[in-house]
Amino acid sequence: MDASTLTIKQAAGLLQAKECSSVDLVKRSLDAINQRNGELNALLEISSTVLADAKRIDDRRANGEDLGPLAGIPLVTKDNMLIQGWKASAGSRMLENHVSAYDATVVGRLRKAGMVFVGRANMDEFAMGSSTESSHWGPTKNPWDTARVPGGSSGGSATAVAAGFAPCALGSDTGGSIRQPASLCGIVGLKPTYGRVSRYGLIALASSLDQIGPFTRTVEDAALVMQAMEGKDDRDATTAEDFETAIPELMQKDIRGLRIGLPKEYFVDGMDERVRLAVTEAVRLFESAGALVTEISLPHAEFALAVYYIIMPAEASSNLGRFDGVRYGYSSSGNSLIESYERTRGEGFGKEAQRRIMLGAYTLSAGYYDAYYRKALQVRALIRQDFDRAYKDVDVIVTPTSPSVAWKLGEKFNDPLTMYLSDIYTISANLAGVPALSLPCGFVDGLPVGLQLMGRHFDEASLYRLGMYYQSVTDWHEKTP
Amino acid sequence: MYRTQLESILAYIAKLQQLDTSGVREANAGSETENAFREDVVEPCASETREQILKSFPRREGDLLSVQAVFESRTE
Repeated sequence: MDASTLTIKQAAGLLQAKECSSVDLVKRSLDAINQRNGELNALLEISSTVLADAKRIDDRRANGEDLGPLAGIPLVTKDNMLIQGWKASAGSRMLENHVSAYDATVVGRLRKAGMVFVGRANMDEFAMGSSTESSHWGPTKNPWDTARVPGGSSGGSATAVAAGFAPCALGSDTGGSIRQPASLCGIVGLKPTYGRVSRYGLIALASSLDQIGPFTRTVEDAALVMQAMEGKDDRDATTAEDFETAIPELMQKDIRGLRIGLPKEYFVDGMDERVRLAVTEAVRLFESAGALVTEISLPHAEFALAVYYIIMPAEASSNLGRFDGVRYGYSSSGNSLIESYERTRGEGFGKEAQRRIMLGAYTLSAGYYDAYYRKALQVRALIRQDFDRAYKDVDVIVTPTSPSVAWKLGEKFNDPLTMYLSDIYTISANLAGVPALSLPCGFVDGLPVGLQLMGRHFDEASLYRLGMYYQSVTDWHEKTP
Repeated sequence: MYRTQLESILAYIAKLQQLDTSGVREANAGSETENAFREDVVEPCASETREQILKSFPRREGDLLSVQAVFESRTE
């Protein structure tokens, strides 16, 4: 048993057949972590009860209890998800010693499904970044080349799965923070439809864009985790209830007749030619398997990044207003209340958080609200219309996930705009609220390339169908660093 | 540093001005869902949750959160 390539499905099979125990799986995880976490800085903390938790699942199984496919499977969570009694710092000094008072809804649901929580993963501060370099705890390194970034903001989670620390990790995606690191680390990452997964207990970045989703080695595994995680939650009023759960076993195995759209606005300058080639190869494969490929247009695509960098900082500046040093978190006191606020925020927030708070406060201010914020909301509506129109003719939209493979640490760190541009292909899905999946589709100079599939609202099923077919005829997802 | 960085970002987002959006309804939220209502009743929280929240207070007096005066300078 090679833990570094083990999928959830394979591990579940071994557990069911009693060929291994959950304790075995966790020990393999801990071995992998001991070997490489010091170098990669993917996990910030390992659970002290993880072996006992695994033992409990093993005991239940030994007692004849009928447990589901996720029972006993190790899971890594992101540092912005609350687990009662665990620290949750969101990669920030502001919350460096903060202990969660309750469980996030996804945590409760996955625990109920029997998953075993291994540890919490590093991330960009408050999920603000595309490289995991803005973490208060130092950068995470890409397991394929430790001189390079793993992507972000969920870089710790992606690295943990790619390096074989666990077959599954959770991330959160506001503008690409699951898909882009999945792409740069050579694994699968899913940003579900907005409203499919509860955000209760997720430390918010931009509430109208944030979604929690899984990192896995295979598309099928991602679908398995989603089954346990998704669904209506009374504690998050934006969760939907009337959608269908996609069950991999019941899905059509071929992709004959599936209509695929390639947005012409995405295949332009700024993309690494070799990334384009890898994506084109995948599309050719889909076509030869009977999918119908057409060029489509998303006319407002070029405005998506500008819209995003108005809406996201605006929502972030509001969400982060709660960190005032009064009720919890970092607290620095001055001679007056105002001075205490200033010190707390000046010392507790890192540079990128401060930058985005200033930007958000500026675009929301009375004189600029119409020119920036209202305008951005209108263009967001146009971007959504683009997708609605496109989905009349196609079922899935295919693009690269990231215009380039993983870049060197420090390369874009002091140039925020260039850093922001690395999210150019992922942010539209968040603005439109549609589901999007990234899966490995090749290598450039030994570094993974990601393929992005975007679907209709709540039609994750088509993404799974296409992705599972692709993984049944390719072996990119079986490569390890 | 902030100044040049913010200037370049503001210059970039200014590209929205070239679009005519008159008459376009704003997309205000992440989805099209309408307001969600629930009964206005207090639900008690678990005692561990309550304990942890109290422990998280930077300053407390018993089970009360101690805060700085809003309009005065500190005298102590």
